[in-house]
Amino acid sequence: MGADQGGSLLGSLIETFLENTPQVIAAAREALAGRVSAELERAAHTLKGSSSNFGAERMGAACAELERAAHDGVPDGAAAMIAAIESEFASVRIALEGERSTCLV
Amino acid sequence: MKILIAEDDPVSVKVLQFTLEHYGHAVVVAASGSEAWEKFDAEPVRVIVSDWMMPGLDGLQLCQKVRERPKTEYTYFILLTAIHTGRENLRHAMNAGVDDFLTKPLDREAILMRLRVAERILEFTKQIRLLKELIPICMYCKKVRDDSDYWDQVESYIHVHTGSNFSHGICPTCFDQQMSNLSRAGVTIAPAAD
Repeated sequence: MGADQGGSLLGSLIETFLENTPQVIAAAREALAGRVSAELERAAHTLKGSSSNFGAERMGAACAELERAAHDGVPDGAAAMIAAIESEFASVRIALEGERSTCLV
Repeated sequence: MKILIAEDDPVSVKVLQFTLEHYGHAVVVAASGSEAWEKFDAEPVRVIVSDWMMPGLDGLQLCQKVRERPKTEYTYFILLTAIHTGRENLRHAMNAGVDDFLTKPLDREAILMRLRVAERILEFTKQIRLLKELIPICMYCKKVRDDSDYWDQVESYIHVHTGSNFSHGICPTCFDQQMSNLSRAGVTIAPAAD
């Protein structure tokens, strides 16, 4: 992979991640409101996989915690867990936006 | 090679798609297990890379449907898993018909190595199928038909494709028949001296 190609791929991955993650977090909230644990677990699983591509370990760990907890039903602390994921995503967003700007140079 | 990606995370899809296309493969993308099955059923591919947890059918259900589809060539099924997927889950996946695993985060080298294994296995299945089609074998006694020149064709084919060599002998039935023919022709064979 050439440097240009690699740079544009990373930029494209970051863009996809930043666009898609708020939608999946919203889907997790919807699943929580509807008490659908399978959907909640799947949303957490998707976020975990997605964030792992960027080495976002704290966000990944928060997603893994929700995924585990939602495996056997909607957990009591689900709302706080989603909030924790969202908070980690805010930090990851700042880092990735900085990274993306270097891809565009 | 045409490869079907079944994955609902668009970031993972991009990583996979970019890597596979970069190395010359054609890619079909499905964002759910159900969509993947519809695409496969309409036009089967030889390799599927699938996430486990997806909307509609999950990865294992997709794999089972692929395995159960009649008159379908062998499809190499690679399941995407998390690093900490337990042994019990992996065993469960193997029992469902999964051939291999790729862990997330996706690593380009790992993807390519898995695809090399896939290509090798698919080539073997093709060779076995060709061998099965080529050799007319009796369903009951398993003797290969002794048509004129057929021995040579089978031997040379198997030798070329597998490297196996043949030692030549005679089965008891053919031995009796040959002895009978020789006897009818008036040829007498003395027993070997001790």
